Amino acid sequence: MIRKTARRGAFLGMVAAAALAFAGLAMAQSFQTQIYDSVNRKWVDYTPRAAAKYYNRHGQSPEEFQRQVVQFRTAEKPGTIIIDGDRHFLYLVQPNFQAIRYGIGVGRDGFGWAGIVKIGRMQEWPTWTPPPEMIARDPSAAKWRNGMPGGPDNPLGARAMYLYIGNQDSIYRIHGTNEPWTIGLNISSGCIRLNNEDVADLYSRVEVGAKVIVLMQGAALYKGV
Amino acid sequence: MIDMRNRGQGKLAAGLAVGLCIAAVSGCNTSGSSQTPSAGAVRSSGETAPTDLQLLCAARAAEELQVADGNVLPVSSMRSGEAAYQVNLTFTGGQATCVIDESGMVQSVTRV
Repeated sequence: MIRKTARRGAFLGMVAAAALAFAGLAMAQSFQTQIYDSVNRKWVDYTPRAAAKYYNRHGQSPEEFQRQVVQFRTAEKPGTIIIDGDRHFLYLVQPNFQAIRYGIGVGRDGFGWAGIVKIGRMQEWPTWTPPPEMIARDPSAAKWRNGMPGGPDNPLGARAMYLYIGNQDSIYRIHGTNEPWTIGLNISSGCIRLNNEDVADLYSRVEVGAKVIVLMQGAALYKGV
Repeated sequence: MIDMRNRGQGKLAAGLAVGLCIAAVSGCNTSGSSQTPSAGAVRSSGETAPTDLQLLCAARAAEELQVADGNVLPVSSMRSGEAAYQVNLTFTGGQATCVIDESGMVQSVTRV
């Protein structure tokens, strides 16, 4: 009976530790991208400045953020979108345990979110209307309070897929961008951005109603769960 | 009898200490490879389980725990030993942890 008490104590300790690890990770800061500096032989932060410099030099984002087909073991059905905000990838599930993987930009600290939502509607060259809270943060957005027409200078870029919970707009979108060097960064107000070529490709492959699963460790809020 | 109780408390403290150590290092990034990366290679600053493994855990938990709407969301993940990951999950009415190996075999699902 004494040995059982000792074993039970150790087991309870491990369960408590697992709960602590769960809580600790849930409160952890969001992850950033790092890029390998082959000159100094070390990993460095992929900051907005580093990203712009890389993009200017190479004409595109790093190779891993380029659209490509990858192995993807999942029970989610083809046409499902999986967003891994920690790794800055969006996966479109394909048949035969494959996915098309796209590089993305995600929400900056305090604006990250996670959840299970769906595509509620879709728009080509969408109008951008900054919400009141964005205008409050950035007064330069005020001139577009009635809507900025779609076009190459529009922050939503070539396409927008509006994310819904049931019949309610979540306020988050998957969209293109007028700042293609920001792919791989935590930079937005929570929306998921792709470069315009990739977002047009994704748009051509998905339908209204598609399930979207958003993963992000240390998210500021959760939607749909 | 007093000595036996102290041994039990000692085991509990040891279990907590091990768990706290795991929690303390859970956010640390490891390169996971001895090969020199190519110029311009990118990685995340923290290590999480591969995306598809997180989803496999969610699917298994939905089945084993009979989650009513089937919506189980991975909220965090970390290495668990050398060749597996712990994935923390949330769903309406509860939370769970899942351990899955690198081949995609779910080793355990535990409601927290």
